[in-house]
Parts: sequence; C-alpha cells; structure tokens
Amino acid sequence: MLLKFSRFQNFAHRAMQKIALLGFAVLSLGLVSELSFGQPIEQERKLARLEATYISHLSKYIQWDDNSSGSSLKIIIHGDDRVKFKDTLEYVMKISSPELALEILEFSNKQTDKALLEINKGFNCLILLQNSSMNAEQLSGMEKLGVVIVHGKKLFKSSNSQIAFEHAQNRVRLLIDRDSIGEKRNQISSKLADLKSAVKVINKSR
Amino acid sequence: MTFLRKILSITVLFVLFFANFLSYADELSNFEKAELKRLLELDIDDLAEQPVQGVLGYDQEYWRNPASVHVIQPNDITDFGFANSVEALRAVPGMHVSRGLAYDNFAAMRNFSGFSPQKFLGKIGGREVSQLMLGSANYSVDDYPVSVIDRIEIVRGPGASIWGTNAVNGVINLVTKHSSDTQGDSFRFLVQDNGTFMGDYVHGGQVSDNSYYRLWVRDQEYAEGTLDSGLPARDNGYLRKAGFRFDKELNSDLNFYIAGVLATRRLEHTLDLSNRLLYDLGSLPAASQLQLKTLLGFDPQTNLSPVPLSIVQGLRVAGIPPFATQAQVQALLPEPSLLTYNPLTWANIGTGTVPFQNFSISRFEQYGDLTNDSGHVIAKLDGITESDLEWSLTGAVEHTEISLGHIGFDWDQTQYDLGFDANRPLGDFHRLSFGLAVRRTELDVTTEVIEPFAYSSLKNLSLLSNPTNLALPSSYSDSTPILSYDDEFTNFDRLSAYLQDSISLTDSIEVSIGTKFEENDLAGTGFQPGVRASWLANDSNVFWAGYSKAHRQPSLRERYTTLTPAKVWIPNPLLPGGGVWSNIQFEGDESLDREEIDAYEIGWRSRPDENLLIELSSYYYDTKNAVLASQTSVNAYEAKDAKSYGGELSIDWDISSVWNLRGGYSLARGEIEGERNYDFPEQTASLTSRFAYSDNLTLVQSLYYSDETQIPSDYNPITIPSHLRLDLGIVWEPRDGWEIGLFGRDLLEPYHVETMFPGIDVEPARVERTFLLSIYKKF
Repeated sequence: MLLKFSRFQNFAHRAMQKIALLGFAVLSLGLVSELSFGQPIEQERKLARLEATYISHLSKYIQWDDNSSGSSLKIIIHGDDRVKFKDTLEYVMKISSPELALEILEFSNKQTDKALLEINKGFNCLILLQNSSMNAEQLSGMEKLGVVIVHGKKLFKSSNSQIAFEHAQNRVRLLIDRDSIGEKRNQISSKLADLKSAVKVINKSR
Repeated sequence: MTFLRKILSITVLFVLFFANFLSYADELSNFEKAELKRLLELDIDDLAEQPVQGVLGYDQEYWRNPASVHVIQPNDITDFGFANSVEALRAVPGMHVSRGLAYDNFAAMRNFSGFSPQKFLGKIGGREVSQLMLGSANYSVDDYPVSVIDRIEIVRGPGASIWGTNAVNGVINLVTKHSSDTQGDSFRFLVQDNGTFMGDYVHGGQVSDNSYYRLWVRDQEYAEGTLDSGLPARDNGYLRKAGFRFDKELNSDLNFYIAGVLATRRLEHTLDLSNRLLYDLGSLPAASQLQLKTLLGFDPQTNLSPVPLSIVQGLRVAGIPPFATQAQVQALLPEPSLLTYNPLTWANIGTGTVPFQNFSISRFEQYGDLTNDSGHVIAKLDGITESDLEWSLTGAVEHTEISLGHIGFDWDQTQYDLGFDANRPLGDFHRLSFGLAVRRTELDVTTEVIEPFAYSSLKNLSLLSNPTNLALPSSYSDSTPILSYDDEFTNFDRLSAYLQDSISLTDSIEVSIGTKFEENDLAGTGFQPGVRASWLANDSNVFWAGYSKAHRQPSLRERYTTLTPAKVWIPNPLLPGGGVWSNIQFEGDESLDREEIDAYEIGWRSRPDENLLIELSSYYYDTKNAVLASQTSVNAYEAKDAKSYGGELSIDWDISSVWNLRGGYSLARGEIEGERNYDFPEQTASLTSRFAYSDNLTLVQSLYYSDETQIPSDYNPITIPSHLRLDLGIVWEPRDGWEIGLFGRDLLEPYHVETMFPGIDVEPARVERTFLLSIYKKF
C-alpha cells in the first residue's frame, strides 16, 4: 500500500509508532480520569433540550384532566438534574404555551420520599430523568394520577408508564402505550400515532 | 509572526487560567435559549431527525465549536433563488463566489485559493470529491437537488486532524437526507429570462417497515451568454443527472444505505491562441534588432522578446510610418514561409482582435467539446453499540471521464474508497474520535494535438543550443500536444488514520486535540496535528482558538504534465526557409513537495440575547512550498513561501418575529515572498434580509460587495473591478409545501464581470442582470 519510491517511506514505521504512542497517551488520559464509559455532559444537555421540546409538543396532544384550578399544569421531575432540565422545560413551556399556569417541581434521587408524597397529591405529568432511581414497582398506580414519562424501553415495558423516550440510531423518539391513547383520564390524542418518525406505538398488553 | 504566536499563547493561557474562577451560569445561556427557539419551530416529527451526537465528535453544541463554522440550510438556497448550492456560498463570510461562464460558479475560501476551489476539501453526499489531475472539484456537477440536501456545513480554516490533506483553507460538507425524510414527490423548476432552465424531480417511497428509497433526476440547460466584448460566449450546453438512495434499518442500532449518481455534461470551451503563435524578435540579426528598436523608439539596450506573429504581420502590411515603408519593414522582419505552418487553419479560428500591450493583435480561439461523464456508488453501514460507540463503515467507487477537447487532453479517473470512522464517550468528559481510510486512484490519460499546432517544430527551445540538432529529424515533431502527461504515474494510494480527543475540562472549557496521519503517494508521509479550545466565558460569550498543521498535495497537473502552450518562429537567414519553428515548453515539477500550512485561528462568538448572534474570527496562515504558477522557472510551477491573514465578522439578527437580517464582512490579505497578492478580493461583504410580510409571503433582499481582484494571465492580465450586487425576491406560499418565487438578480447594473479562467486567457463573460421564476414543491 505504501508508495514504493516515496522518499518518506523510511518514516512510515516511525510514524506508526508515534500515532500509537499518541493513542496510548490519549486513552490513558481518559482512563485515568474516568474509569467508566458514559455520555459526555454536552450530549446530555442536547438530549435535555430535545426532550423538553418533545414535552412542549406533547402537552398539546394531551387533554389534561382538570385536577387543579383553571388552565394550569403541574409537572414533577424526578432524578439528579445536572443539565438544567427543569430550567429548559420551563423555558420551552413558557414560550410554547404562555397562557398556561405552570408549576414544575423537581426532586433529586435523595428526595425520593418527598417526591412520592407530592406525586400522591396528584400531578399532570411525572417525568423520570434517565438517572431516576424510581423503579417499576414504585411507579405502580401512578398512571392513574397523571401521565408518566420514563426513559428506555425496558422501564417502559415493565411499568405502567404511558410514554417513554427512546434513544436509538442517534435519534430520540417517543414510545407510547397503545392502551393509553384515548383513555378517559389525561386523554392522549390518537393523532400522535400518525407521527411515524417521532412516535412508535407499543402494545404493552401483548 | 513571533508576535502573533505570543499573543495566541498568552490568550490560551489566560483562558485556561481564569476560566476556573468563573462559574458556569446557573440559568440557561442565550445560546441555549436560541437553540431551544430553533427546536420549537420544528414539527414534532422533525425532532426525531435531530442527531443526538455529532458527526465524529465535531457537531458539538454549535456555539461551543472551536472553529469558524457556517451552516446553510436548504431554505437559504430556495428563499434567495439560488439555483444550486455553490451559488448559496455567496452569503458565507470568507468565501468568494464568482461566475466565469454560464455553467460554472467558482468558489474560493479565505486567501490563497486564487480562482479555483483547489485549497479546500469538498465532501458531498459522504464522498470526498476531488479530481487529482487539477486538484479541485466541480461543485456544479456534484450538486444535489435541494430537497434532498439536509445541510451544508462550511468550516473555515483547516480541520486537518479529522479531515486531512487538502482541508487547507477549509471544508465544505454537503450532507444529504435519509430516504425516510424524502417520502412522496418533490420538484423544483427554475426559469431565467435568458432561457437558462433547471428542473429536478425527486420521488421517495417505502419498501417495507424499515426500508425506504428515493429516485431523482435533474436537467440543467444553460443559455448562451455574452463575453465582455459583446461577442457570443458559446457557453450554452446541458448537465443531466440521475440518482438514487436506499436506506434500510437492519436492527434498532444498525443502519445501511446505498446511493449512486450518474451525471453527464456537454459544453463547449475555448483556448485563446492569440498569444500562442509567436515571432522571436530577439533571434533577428543584431543589426536588424538595432534598426527595429530605433524605429519603434525603444532603448538600444532593450532585450527584444517573442511577440505574437500577428504583430509582425501587421507591421509588414502597414509599415512603421513615417519612419519605415512597407518594403523596409518586410525586409527587416522576414515572415515565415506559408509552407512551414498551417496559416489557413489559423485564419479559420480568427475572431477579430484583442489588445496586447500597446498593440492590437489578431484574436484566435480554439473551441472544443468540454465533456464530463461520471458515476459513483457509495454504501455505508453505521450503528451505535450499547457502550455508545458510534461507528460507520463506508465504501465508494467513482468513475469519471473528462475531456478538454479545446486543448486535446482527456482523462478517466477511477477511485475506490474504504473508510472506518468511530467515536465514543470516554467517561463524562471525553469523546474520542478515530478512524482509518484507504483510497486508490487509477488514471488513464490520452492526448491529441489540436489542429492549429499540428505541424512540424523543434521539440523545445533547448535544442537550439546545439546547431547540429537542427539537422536531426529526431529533433522535430508534429505531434506535441499542448498538455502531455507522464504515463509512469497513473496509480495513487493513500492511507490515513486519525485520533482526536474532545475534552470537557470544565463546564465552560472544551479542548480537542488530535492528529491525522497520512501515507500519500502525492503528499508523502506526515502528521497533521491540531489543537482547539473553546471557553464559554459567560452565558452569552464564547471565545475559541486553534492551531492546525495542514497539508495540500500538489495536483497531477502541477507535477506530471508538460505544457506546450505556444510555438515560436526563430528567424535565421542561414536556415532553409529563413528560420525554424520551435515549441515553447514548461515541464511539471516532480520534485514539488506538499504544501505545509501552519494555521493559527482565534474567534469570539456572542449572543447578547437570543435574537442576536455575532461572530468574529481571525486567522494567520504561514505556508511553506505554496505551489504557484512560475514566472521565471523553466517549470510551469514553483514552490514559494506565502502568508495570508484576515478575519470574518458575521451577524445574524432576528429583529422581530417576522424580520431577520444577516450580515457578513471578510478581510483577506495574502503575500507571496513578501509581495502582496490580489487574486482574491481583500474585502467582501454581504447583507441579506428576510421579511415575512404575511404568513405566506416573504420578501428577500441580498446585497453583496466584492473588492477588486487581479486575474493573472500569460499576456493579458485583467483587473476585475469591485462590484456591488443587489438581488431582490418575493416568495409566495400558495398552500402548504408549495413555494413560488420571483427574483431579480444583479439589479444595480446591466452587467459586470466577476472572473476569467487564469492562464488560458478566456475572455470573461458578462454576469448580466437576470430575472428568475422558481416553483418548488417540497415533500
């Protein structure tokens, strides 16, 4: 492959050594500082922006139960928010639905007990962040109080949550439980099922 | 230079030192707010098309990007009535787009590109497009219908550690859409008042739940333009293309696509031969030379050089009144015998006169077919593993057949590419990008002698040094082409690998460091390292700086071709026939080394609020072995040291919810061995406005300014005056997905000239005031 008559040919071996050395140095730098693989913070911020925008769109496809006075919306966020998800959601909701009275409450994993107390008082939307410590058992019955949004197909299938964010092929899309579409409480519009790119309707009862 | 380095070093140290004392704002930054506004404008289905992570770690939050980046969206093309993506580059600060003839727009970036797109890297539809012969790409031929274009990223400055060789002045990366995003039918028709027409049609469909396809065709018919002198430009012709793409989701984390394009273009092109048939006054007997100098009022010490034969013929007819009669001049300047060359052929290609210094000379133009037939297939497999390793494997084959009929030079190029790219997070703060690629290029070159030069001549002037050569038949040839290629060099291999780590040092500082390694038959073996950093100083200001070492490989034309641009008559009364014809020849230079550029860049990006974005970037390039046309050497090209520096300012302002203004200014200066170079406009500026008069009616306006440029030439260098261009347009959306646009272009003057082909002295064509109607049906 290398050029026969290249006057640089003699350097090829040394060059490969150098690039291997650089690779080793960079890898060492990464491995010393971080022993586990994970998402860089920048990517998490990007996800947060996309998901918040999804939720602002979703809120228009859901006929919210009037469980509080007037046109207001109570959103509870659970998990360790290190990418300003609450601020992001608040900003997009204010722009997209300025007329809506918005109450967004946020609880870290350490505040799970407080979160459960608040959840039991009722909500429109409960959002579990990707690192939320809540499991399917804890979520049981919450779907009757409002719309529960989780992350990942696994928790979505094992819980009664109605909606999930799924990350696949470098994209984010929504998974929606077919049974929740058209339900009487917090009715999710069937129009969502027509959004082929953004929404995948899952029949969890099968 | 040393001073600049010091400034850069101090800035970087300052940034690294003080950044730790500044906390990242708790609230959303103006950059984030602006990005959220952009996302909110998308349909929910479009959100699913937003990539989560970037292309090889490059697509960071764009405001954190430690480089000067500009992105053109498809509506930037259609809203302003641009026919293709090259025209849309006009509004990018730091780029200079000019039009020579009807069919081609030339794009150059920053300085030292000169006229052609030789010094930036083009990636179109996933392929690196380049013709090794000329070291450039033809973006008109490689263009796509606008409805399949996802975006065009313009990275100013070398991004060599990822992109590699030839990304010297920057990178243009045209990204096409996934087939699932082009479902249904779309078409776009454009008609210009001079008859130029372009139409494309795209159809997309679904094969199964997880596989999609699209097919498209395009026809572009160029109407004939007018040369600056008012003569017809003979630049009419056509470009026809067809393409396909098939995408299949193999499983939830594995994608495959295959795409291909066929293109054919037929045009005429010309070679100016006005200064190609010469008469060497310096070979006249000494007494004749002295007499001639006296008659013409030249200093006796002046060295007489070759002049166009038509000057001599003119003097022989008119004499030099009142000093010499016709008979005296004819005795002084004996004409070559009509039997020694082919005067009838020359008479047939005569097209009037053209200025030459203080004279007017006969104009000769050799027209020939300029054809380009090409096809390629590209296939890509990509996926993301559970550990977030994003990877792709790409293979491509491309075959191109190009014929420059006007000079008798044809080549076929076949390229095979295979590349693996990947990136993965490494902990919370690192993203590692790496890749490996191989490319093989095969060439088949054929040449022929054009008719005006098909007569016996000495092979080159050096044979005159030994009088015995004149008696040897082997010293003569009647089949020396204008451009000949050394057939020893027809296969070229390139192996490259890169590694880059993007590190989030703190919430506000990101650094990327990496290098590309290449073993390249044309550029040798070498590393192209780069280090870049960005600092989010507060919620509305980002500073960035970068250093890159970049390489450019000399083109095959520069290395392995021999140019025989002219023939000269050497008068010698001792020889039968009164003299001898000889070729004038310039050889390519096999020893030309790769160009090496040390590039220093610094930039500032500011969002005082979410509706206003200001970007400022500055650069300094120090180039060793810049390959430039030779003025003194026996070779056609020679390597010189060059410097270029400048900067760009751009502003994007949403004045209100219905009015957007964008402005750009660029300053670019270049020096070759200390002397200023003016083949690139020192200053360019643009101002574009988009005003939504109502929900379905948008008014657009563009104003472009370009400074004076000087186009080098063998005998007729021209100055392109500075010019201002005003375009106005109105876009009406009669119903969802339909756009009808009416545009007036170059409205300030009936015409101006923008460029000409340097070296071959084609008279520039007028860029005329035109009106254009477009009908666009989106998917």
